[in-house]
Amino acid sequence: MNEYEKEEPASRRDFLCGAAQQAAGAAIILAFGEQLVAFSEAAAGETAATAEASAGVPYDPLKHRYLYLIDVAKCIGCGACVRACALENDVPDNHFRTWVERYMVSRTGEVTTDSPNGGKDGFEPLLTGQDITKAFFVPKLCNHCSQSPCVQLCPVGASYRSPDGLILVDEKRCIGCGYCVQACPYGSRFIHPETHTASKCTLCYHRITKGMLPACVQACPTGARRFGDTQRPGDEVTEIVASSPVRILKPEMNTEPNCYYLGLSQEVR
Amino acid sequence: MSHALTGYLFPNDVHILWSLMIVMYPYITGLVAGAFIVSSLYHVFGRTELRPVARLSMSASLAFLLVATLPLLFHLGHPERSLNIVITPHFTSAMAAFGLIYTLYLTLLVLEIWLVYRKDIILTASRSRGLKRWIFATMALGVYDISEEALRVDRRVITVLAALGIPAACILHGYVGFMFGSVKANYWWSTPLMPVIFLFSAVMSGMAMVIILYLILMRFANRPIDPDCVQSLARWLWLFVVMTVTMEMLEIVTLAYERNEEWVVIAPLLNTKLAFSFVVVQVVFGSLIPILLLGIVVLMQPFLTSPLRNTITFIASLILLIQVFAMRWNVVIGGQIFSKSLSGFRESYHPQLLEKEGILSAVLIFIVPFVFLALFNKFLPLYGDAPETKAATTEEG
Amino acid sequence: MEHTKHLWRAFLILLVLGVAGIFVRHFLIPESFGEQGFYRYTSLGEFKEKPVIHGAVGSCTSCHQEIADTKTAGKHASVSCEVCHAPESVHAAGGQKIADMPTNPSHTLCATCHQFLEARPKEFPQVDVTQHLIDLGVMAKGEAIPDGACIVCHQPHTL
Repeated sequence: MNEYEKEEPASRRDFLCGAAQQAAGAAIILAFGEQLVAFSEAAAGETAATAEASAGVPYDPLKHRYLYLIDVAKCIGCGACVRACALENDVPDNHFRTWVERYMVSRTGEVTTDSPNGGKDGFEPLLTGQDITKAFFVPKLCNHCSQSPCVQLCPVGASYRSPDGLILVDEKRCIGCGYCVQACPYGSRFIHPETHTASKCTLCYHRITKGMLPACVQACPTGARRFGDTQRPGDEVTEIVASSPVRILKPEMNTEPNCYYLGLSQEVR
Repeated sequence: MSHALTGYLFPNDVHILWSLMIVMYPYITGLVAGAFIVSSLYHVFGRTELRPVARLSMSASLAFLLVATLPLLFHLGHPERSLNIVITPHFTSAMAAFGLIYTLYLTLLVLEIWLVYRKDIILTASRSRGLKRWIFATMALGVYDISEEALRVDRRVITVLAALGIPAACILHGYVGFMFGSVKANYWWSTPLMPVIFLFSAVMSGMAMVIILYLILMRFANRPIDPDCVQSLARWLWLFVVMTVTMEMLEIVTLAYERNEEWVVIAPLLNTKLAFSFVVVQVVFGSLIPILLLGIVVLMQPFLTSPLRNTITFIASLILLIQVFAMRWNVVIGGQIFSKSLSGFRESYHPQLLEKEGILSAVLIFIVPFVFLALFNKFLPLYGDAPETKAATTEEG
Repeated sequence: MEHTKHLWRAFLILLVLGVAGIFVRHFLIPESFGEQGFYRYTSLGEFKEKPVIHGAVGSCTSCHQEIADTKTAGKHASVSCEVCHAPESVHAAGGQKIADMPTNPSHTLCATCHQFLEARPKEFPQVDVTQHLIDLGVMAKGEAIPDGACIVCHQPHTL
């Protein structure tokens, strides 16, 4: 639309990229290189599972037990996970199987939290008018609790915990009473506006049973979201959860989540 | 560090999911349980002065029980699957007990009413002809035995059923309270006091409804109002109001005093979104005024004329019906106003007139039991004296 | 006992209703219910059958090895192709191209990751997009950001 667009990209680039910028770029690569490794490892784990799947071994839910790990320090709040989830699972607008929250904490302890459209469109800069000393993004999704209140409270056995450790909703049995939505302390469930049944994260069951990654994990560009299987020998996520200071959300609810957080700050609820 | 309320809601927590229909449900089951307790005061506890309302309260209980499931069906995303709750009841869920408790209670109530009215049914059958005779003969199950011996057996069974009905009514409504009280994720609902509060306010609303029905029915039937009956109902009602309000306040005072995490959301909730429906309607208008009015009836009995007593009791009962509705509203809607993020409030809930779960549906559902009662009254009078039960006879003797 | 005929009839009716209820219920319980727990086990299979929208890791590589190699050598190596483009299923099915893969040249796409935000990790490359373009003289203060402003200088694949 203007001359800027018509200009030769290469020359412009040479002009712009000063030495200082390049140095900064190098530092960034170093800092985030670790994440590239993390991602390729996740991919390697997946390849092993895919190999098994393609070798014609039928999926046995009794041989898997999944867990999820979120590294808060790596989340850049891009919302790629929310968009990928919505596309993969046909999530209706204004409802979320996963979302990203932004926390901004001031020196005096004022907490400003937001999640515009669940973080689906990313985040805009936000002026709180306060001296922000701590700010971070927190991805959220169903915690697939081992002691899940939603399954306990489902009157008809439509919500259940599968042998591989996932909380799922049988769309053909659900009566749409909404009790599970009330019971979930994490706000992970909603009543689907079209099916009128409870809907929630399935950890992309249709993908993971074929050896693929959940859409959100695959979409995460920084490795903030990781997916593991405690039954897989040498599983890295299992190892991190077993050996690192991880936290869970709302431990006072005693729901025993299978979604763990690294570097979670106490403001998060 | 303090968690200031900055208005963040979990993105799935935007709408109020449980609507006016879910307010109606505990309200109606409360009337069911409460009215039944009134009839049991006569049949089991021998309060003979309540004999004029024994039949009425039992029939009212049944009339409301028959529509108790309607608000739920209006609310469900898949009402056609509602029977799943009986086909595969998941008994770790309080809600799953619904089918069993409802069936049990309905059976008890129908049996009891059948026995209470059996003599009338048989007399009607023998007096009428054609279809009416056939219907009433079927209702009598083809047995026309109204000998003194048979009626004595009936009375004994009625007493047993009424006695069994008390725990059944308590379970029916206590379980509704438990359904809310056991949701640990919701700080406004989660308290062991919830079933007890529900139960007591249920008895309160049931009694108030029986008083109103009795006074109106007597006026329309042009029959004398029994002053002892009204005086006794007012006294019982006063007791239950005092106990209910005590527990409702106890819950708030405990929350306020302990100042746990939940108070961070509940205090602003009561100060803003629930200020009118809780503080004004439920506590000041709905509780204090009836306590004073009924207090006058109870304490100043010798100085009151019958019409004055009836009027005061009627007004107090009407206010209490509003109080209990406000209480259900404040529990059901209030509990959904704050997000589980504990740092933000949803938009206030205003039911629409014409939506599926809206005001018109609620009003229509609430009218049906009165239509049932009017129909019932046409064939089997509600004000007829109930047979004396064993307990009542003993008391008199 | 005499004079209890009506009670026995009532009892019998309740008994018949009760037994009939239990009988009917038995046939309404779905198959596979209770096989592994209090749920319909076959519903697990139904979840497996849902369509896969995003391709597996590396599925783009089978056709686009060259771009993949370039990208893997650059800073966007860990960014899945589908994040910036679209899910594989809109573009290919059964190894065949079914539609063009969309490209999004808008600066808003870049900004979702690289707009400066206080909550982003400090070491992550980010910039105040508007200020950056003003500093470079691309646009004046108050103007709208021109379409494709970022990719004029920054090539997402070769970075």
